[in-house]
This record gives sequence, C-alpha cells and structure tokens, in this order.
Amino acid sequence: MPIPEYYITLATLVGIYGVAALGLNITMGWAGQVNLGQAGFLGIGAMTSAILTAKLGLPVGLGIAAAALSALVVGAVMGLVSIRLREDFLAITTIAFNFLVVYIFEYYDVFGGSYGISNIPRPSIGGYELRGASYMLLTWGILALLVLLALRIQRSWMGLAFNLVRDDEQLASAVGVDVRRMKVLAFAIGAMYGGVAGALSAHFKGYIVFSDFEFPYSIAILTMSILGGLDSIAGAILGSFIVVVSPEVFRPLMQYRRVMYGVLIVVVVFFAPRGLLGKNAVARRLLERMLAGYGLGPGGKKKGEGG
Amino acid sequence: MLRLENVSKHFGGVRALDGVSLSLREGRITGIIGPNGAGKTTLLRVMAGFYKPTRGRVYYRDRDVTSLGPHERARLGIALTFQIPRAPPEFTVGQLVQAAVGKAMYRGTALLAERDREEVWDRVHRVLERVGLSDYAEREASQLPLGLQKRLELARALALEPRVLLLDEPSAGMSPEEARELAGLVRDLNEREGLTIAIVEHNVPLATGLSHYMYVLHYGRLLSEGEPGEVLRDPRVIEAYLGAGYARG
Amino acid sequence: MAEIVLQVVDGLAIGSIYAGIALGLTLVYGLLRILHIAHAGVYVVGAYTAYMVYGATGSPLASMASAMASSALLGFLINRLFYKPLLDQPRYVPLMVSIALFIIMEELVANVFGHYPKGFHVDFLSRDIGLAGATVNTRKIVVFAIVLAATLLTWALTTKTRLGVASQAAAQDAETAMTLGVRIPLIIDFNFLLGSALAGLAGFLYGYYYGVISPFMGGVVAYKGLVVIVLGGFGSVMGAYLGGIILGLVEQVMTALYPDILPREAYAFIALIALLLFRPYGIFGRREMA
Repeated sequence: MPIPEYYITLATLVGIYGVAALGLNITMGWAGQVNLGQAGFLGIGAMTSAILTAKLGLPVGLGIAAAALSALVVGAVMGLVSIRLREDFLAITTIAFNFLVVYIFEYYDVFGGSYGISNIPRPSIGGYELRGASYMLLTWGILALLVLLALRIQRSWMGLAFNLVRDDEQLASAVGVDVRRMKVLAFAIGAMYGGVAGALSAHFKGYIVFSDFEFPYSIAILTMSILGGLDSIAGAILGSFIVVVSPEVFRPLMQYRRVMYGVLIVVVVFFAPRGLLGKNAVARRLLERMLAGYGLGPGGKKKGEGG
Repeated sequence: MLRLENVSKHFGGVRALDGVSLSLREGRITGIIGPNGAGKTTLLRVMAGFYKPTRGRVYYRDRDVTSLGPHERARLGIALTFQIPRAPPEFTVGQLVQAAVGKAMYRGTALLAERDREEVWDRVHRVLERVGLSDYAEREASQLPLGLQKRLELARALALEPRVLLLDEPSAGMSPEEARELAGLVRDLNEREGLTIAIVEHNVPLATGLSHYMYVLHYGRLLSEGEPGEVLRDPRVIEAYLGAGYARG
Repeated sequence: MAEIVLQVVDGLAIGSIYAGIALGLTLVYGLLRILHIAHAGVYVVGAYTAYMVYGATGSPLASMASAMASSALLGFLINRLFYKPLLDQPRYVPLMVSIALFIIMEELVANVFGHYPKGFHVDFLSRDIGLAGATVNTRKIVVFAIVLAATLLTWALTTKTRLGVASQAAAQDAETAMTLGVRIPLIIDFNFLLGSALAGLAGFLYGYYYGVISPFMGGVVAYKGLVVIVLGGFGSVMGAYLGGIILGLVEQVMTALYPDILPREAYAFIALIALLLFRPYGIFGRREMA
C-alpha cells in the first residue's frame, strides 16, 4: 500500500529540520555557545547548493558537500567572533548575523534577489531521480550519518571538552582544553549541520527565496532543540517532529495557529526547561525506568553517561 | 624549574603584583604566604597562565612561557588547584579526573578518539586512590562536602601528571585532621615522586612545616624570603602579620 | 543643503522612536539581564490602544496617555507572570519565552485588527514649515521633542529619586543592594512600568509620525532595539537615547547615499557586529557590565 504523499512530505521535513536542530544541540547544548541564527546557516547551505546546481549545473552531491563546507567556514568565523563575546552579546550578534544574511540574499542577484532561485534539480542516482519516498530516504540516510557523527563526538574527548567549556571555561583550560578552539569547532560543526539541512531543503522544494531563512525559522529550530532537550540527540529529532507536525495538529484553529505555536513554546519552556529527553527530564526518566523494567536500562552508567 | 622575573599584574588601577621575582626550585616545596590581599592567588594564576602579567616574564625550565595560555601550560606539566573547588553540576568525580587524564587528547584527530576506554579509567582510579577518593568515582562532584571537593582538586591536578604542582590554599575549609592528612600527602608527592610544588597557604604553620623555602608577599611585593625558620624571625614579616592579620583575630 | 537638513530631521525623528523603545529595554536589562524581545509586542499593543482611543475620543493626549497606560500594565504583567518564575533558569529560557510572547502578541493583534496596516492620522501640530531652506513637517520635531523630554524625565527619575538611585544600585550589585534594604522586587516592578510606558509612547509616536500602524511594526524593531542598547552600553539611559538617535541618523544617511548596497534595516546589524569586534562592551559600556 503506498504511503500518501502528504506523510512523505512531513517525514522529509522532520528529517531536514532534525539535522538542523541536531547541529544546534552541538553548538548550544553541548558546548554552551548561544546561536540564535541557525536559519542563517541553512540559508548559506541552501544558496550554495542552489547556485552550484541550478545555475552552474554541477551534480547535487557536490552541491550538498559544498553547502556543508561553506556553512562550516562561516560557522568557524562566527566561532571566532564568539570568543570575544559572552552570553547576551553573542545572542544578539547571532540574531544580527541572521538578519544580515537574509538582507544580503534579498539584495544581491546571485542569490536570486527577491525572486529567489528556482528549478533547483533533485538528486539522481544512475539516471533515477530521487523524489517522494526516495528523497525522504536520502534525507533520513544523511540524518543517520550525521547522528553517527554526533554520537562519535559525544563519546570522544571533543564531547567532554565541549561540556567543560560550557560549564566552566577556567576548569576546561586547567585540564588542557583550548577553550577558543573548542568554541570555533562547536560553532563550525553546528553550522555545518545547518548548511546540510539547508541544501536538503533546497533540493526538496526546488525553489528557495531569501525569506525562507528569516529569523523566525531560527527560533523554530531552537524550539525543536529545547523541546527535545538541548543535550539529547534523540531529542533533536523528536523536537523536529513535534514542531513540524504541530501546525498540522493546530490546523483546525485556523488563523490562531501561530498563536498556538507561541503558547506551545511558553508551555514547554515553563514546564520542561530541560526538554522532553534532556538530562533529568521527566520523559527521559520514565523511559529509562520502563527500559530498566525490561532489563534494557542503560548499563554503562558507571563509566559516566556522555554529555 | 618555574621562574618569575620582575612580574607585575595590574587590575584597572589596582596593583595586585608589583615587580615580583622568584623561582620554584626543582624537587622542592616552596611556600608562599602573606596577609589577605597580598597577591598570593594572583601569583599562582600568573604562573599557571590564567593571568597574563602586565609586565615581566615567566620561565619554565628556561623556556619563556609568558605568552602561553593556561591550557598549554597544563599540557607542559604545570598543574593548578583552585582555591574554591571547581565542580560543575552533573559531572561525577571520575569524569572530572578523566578530563585531566585526557590532557594530551584535546587536539588534532585525538579529539575524536573514544574516551571511555579501560586504560583511561584505570588511570582515573589510580589517581583517585592516591588521594583517597576511590569510593566516590561515581558520585556527583558538586554534591560532595568541601573537604572531599578539595581532594578532588588535587586529584584533577595529579591526573595531569604534572612536573610542577601549584596549590592554592589547599587546606582552606578542611578540618584540622583533614589538613594533617593533606600535608602528609603533599610531602609524600614531593619526596617519593619528586614533584616540584608551590603552596599558597593561610595556615602558616602548615606552610612552614611543609616548605623547604618560603616567600612572603605583602601588598603585591616580595617582603621576605628564605628558609622557613629565617622567614618567621624576619621582623618585617612579623610586623606585616601583626599589623594585618593577627592583631584583629 | 536642504537635502541634508531633510535627511537629518528624518533621522532624528526615526532615531527618537528607536530611543523610546530602547529606553525601556535598557531599564529591564539593567536589572534582570533579560533580553526582553516581548517589549516590541508591548510597543505594538500600545500603538493599537492609541489608535482605538483616538478613534473614540479624537484627543491626541488621551490617545498617548492610554497607550502608555496599557503598555505599562502589559509589561508589568509579563514580568510578574512570566519572567519572575524563570529567573533561576539558564539565560536562553526567559529569552525563548520572551520571543514566544512577542509572537503571541503580534498574532493576536493581527487577528483582532487585521493583518493589513491601518491608517492612523493624528491631527496634532502637523504642518509644513521652512527650515534652513527645506520644507519640514512639524510632526518630526514634535516626535523628537517628546522623546527628548521623556528621556530627560527618565534620566532624572533613575538618578535623582530615591527609587531610581536604589534601582541603579540594584543594577550594579543586587546582593549588596538587598543587604542595604533596597526592595528589589519593587524596583523591578517600577522599571517595567516605566520602561513599558515608554514603549507605549513610542508606539503612539510611530503612528503619529508615519500616519499608519501595522501588527508587524515591531518585527525588526524588536531586534534593532537590542542593537541600540548594545550600542549605548547595557543599562545606561543616556546611552540608549544616544544609541537610538545615532542609529536613526546612520540609517537615514546611509540609505540616502547608497540606496543599492543594502536595505536600511541592515545597517543596524552591521554597526553592531563592527562595534562588538572593536569595543566588546558597547560605546559607553564598562567592562563590568558584560
């Protein structure tokens, strides 16, 4: 039985935003560097891939790789900026970054100006064009790869170094961690995830325009991260699912949908500031207790859970 | 081993250190004492790289390390314990020591190496045993009583396998008994493992009992130096302490 | 010459509206260290209150006063209901709530009054006069004068009254202030009332100046306001005022000179990034404020 197109679209979007939210978790949740401009990195990735493929005719795979790279580089620059700034200044600067990126997209023709870029090709393998369910599988495949990378980071010295930088910079440097380098890395890696997500959305929709990357999208991605739990990999995907699906759930409320979205954020942040699957979160503890009941609980606890 | 040459450190208009020259001799315990606000902690932090001196140079084994950051000095083998223990919530005692065991892993491709390996945790447990924290590896560090957190500070420093150990008020907040144990441990580290140690202490008897050589700071300047006995007989030192600390107490 | 005068007058008027918004933000930030994005929602609500009251009474004064009153009440409630319970959470938590409240207010206003801009023509001192060879509408001068007066009043309230001095002390060091018997919650309430009233005033002035208001007029302003308080140094009343005025002037002049490089809204953000790279604590800010 074929799955309706509508569900495939939703599942693809959950995958794309899952990638974006996961990147934000790395920058903000693990390394503690506030980033309120993740949509800007999506934009950089999307524009890079769209220009390379739609305008220059390069293959989509190359476009996505270039998207990752360009976002990584710009992210590293933001990371360098973050070294000089603390909390609120950094928060405002990342907001400013998002606004600026969008203004540049809007004002310069390379990025399609106010008309955007259309006819962005879909990827194809051996002459078979990926669309619908196969594009969804591609999205989730890339998400899976990026989850593996995130897991690797979480269990490595980098993961520990990120957590130390987040919680106590002096302590981090006292044990040999180069705090500045970690901030740059955390920003660059998180931005790279954003760039990949942007490229995936560009090839999914076939058309992008500056307003697709405006600041409210950064807030939506941040909402996903916080909803799921800023320090949880699974949480990023769950958060993406909830935020992508909620407009559909709120659809009967018609014009009050965006109001409900605001209410959702307030309710979540008020009652579960650590997110649904974050450390010590209610849902996580319930889940662990259930799993433990079946003898499946996390056994390696004595070696300390990863960030 | 570690040498300061004419070091000054100013914070805004305040001169925390003013032209201090001193050296930590290899394999010795050097005590640094002085009344409140004398600049003792600032001095240790300049040695460890947390503060850049406003003027003057810092040498480590005849190499100028003035421009190196704290993480680079930690990797070179200069370990600092903080006066107020650093134990962020959600870290276990073991994880904090593990963080220091990994000092060489925070660069290049080593960054992505798996950190929960048997040999890493063996080292963690050896260090914890050394300071008597074996039973606490899985406890959340911030929940421990202050005395144990102070030991954790020492454990984290030792996990760096340092050549120079800088102890900032290690006995503050400890009971007399704990302080005695600590003194034994510090002496042991020096005698058996040949560690070069600098100790900043409020507890003057503890510092004089441990040190081979002492420096006395007063208002950011070096007031006196010498063997512990000499220093304590120095009339300038007696006056500084009587004037500043003991008279009120 | 006439061209320059025109641009400067426009820049001063727009800058005054920015300043009015930034004053409230800086009062809140100085005490609570919350990036109060919802302030822009308070500003929008103020503008629509002014619009309704003006429609009902036809009195500019009643319109302005009602905008200030409704905004003050709203800001006060936001603090009591939403910020107060979240003060011990990580910093991004109240920030998220603030952004969400802003979305909610914006959308509610749009749903109640319609998504499209509404004409709001206040008949008050609105004529063209000659000024150094240019024709200038007196509204612009009125906007400038009112905000300048409000700023001076705020400055006096925060530096010359006992409550204001206490508030300054609390902003510097809450713990010490508390031991000296300063009642922090009272001061926070005071700052929210005052700051939000100023946002309402700015909302009224926006309508008065442009002759039109829209549910989304707070959009970019919400974030530009943050830029202004960074430019002025967090927590400083005069800094916020000057930051707003300077931003208004820079935008106006840059857009007039180089219309094709970037939209006017971009300059605030460029200025911010440039400033933070060279003076990470703001033009007038001190190190301790960060």
